[in-house]
Amino acid sequence: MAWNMGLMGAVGTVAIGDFELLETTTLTSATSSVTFTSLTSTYASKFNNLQIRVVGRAVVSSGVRSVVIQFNNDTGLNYDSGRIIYDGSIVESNAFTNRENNLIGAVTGSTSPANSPGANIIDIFDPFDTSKNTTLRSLFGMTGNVFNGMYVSNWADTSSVDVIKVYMTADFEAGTRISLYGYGESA
Amino acid sequence: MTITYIEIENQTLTSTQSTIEFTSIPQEYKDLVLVCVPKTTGGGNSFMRFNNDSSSIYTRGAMAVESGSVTNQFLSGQTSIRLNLSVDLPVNLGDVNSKYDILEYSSTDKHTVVLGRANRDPIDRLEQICGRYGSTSAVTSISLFPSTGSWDAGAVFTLYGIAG
Repeated sequence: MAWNMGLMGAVGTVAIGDFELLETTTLTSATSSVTFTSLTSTYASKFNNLQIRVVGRAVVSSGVRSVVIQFNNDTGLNYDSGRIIYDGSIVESNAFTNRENNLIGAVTGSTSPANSPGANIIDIFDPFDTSKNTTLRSLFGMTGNVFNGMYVSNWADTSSVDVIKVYMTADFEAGTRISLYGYGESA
Repeated sequence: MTITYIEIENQTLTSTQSTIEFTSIPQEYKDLVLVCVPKTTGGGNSFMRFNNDSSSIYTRGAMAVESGSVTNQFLSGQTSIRLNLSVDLPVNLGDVNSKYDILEYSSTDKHTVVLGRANRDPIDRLEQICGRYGSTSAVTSISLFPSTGSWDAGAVFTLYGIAG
């Protein structure tokens, strides 16, 4: 099952330049992905930047599962990410290039302590600016199975972001919350 | 749409104080943000505790970078979240600034997770932490306390709520 946030989007007026909650869902059943749609037409005139928060767990028999983002249904190898992470033992840095999605963080799996979620805050800079690629910065962590760090990512496409799909190679567990925010005054 | 990022309370100290407390925290938000410009009388480490709960259910992973050198630390079974790894509390205001996102504080089906970043000038030290309060109780109070001395006059702590 996948959630299409275009069916649940909030509407109304917003003061320019505020940090605004745009759309949010707390899953009521296991869900493979959450997709935000119609972003350009709905938010480009109001906000320069977007932020996504993902707090939850994966339906998987492991401690950690990576969360990824894909833009505009682009499955081409147009995504790069770099990270620095701590896994409870060592700190390491890695680069991930020519991917079909951006790595942005992780959530816990079933071997993590009960009720212990993974938390992720992802900032997406200038997603509606067609003069530049879309860049992301994320902060994430969990301590049931220790895994925390930061990603910096790039989607090598200057298209205005209209669709954002948040997913992983497992379902999000019921109770996972995924929220979309807008901020920064649009010129 | 809802105005989302709201200041709940600011505490700017005019005299020394052993503990900073935010109490009766509104439960209408999903996450909190705590921004600190700390200053103490004695340096040392800083700690965060929720609901005055001092049971040994806090965990924290941390990493720090300074001049190309990397350190890390994991603590479990703690009575509070140690916020710093090597960014010791300063006695000079402005040497350290830090921000902590406290996620799902009002939920009663998840543990509360803290994602934090701090930096210290002039020695260019940067830290990132992840802490967890191992209780599904909603957080209604937050206590901040140093391991040595007291918070000093001039220290600033501001709590914000974020809708979700």
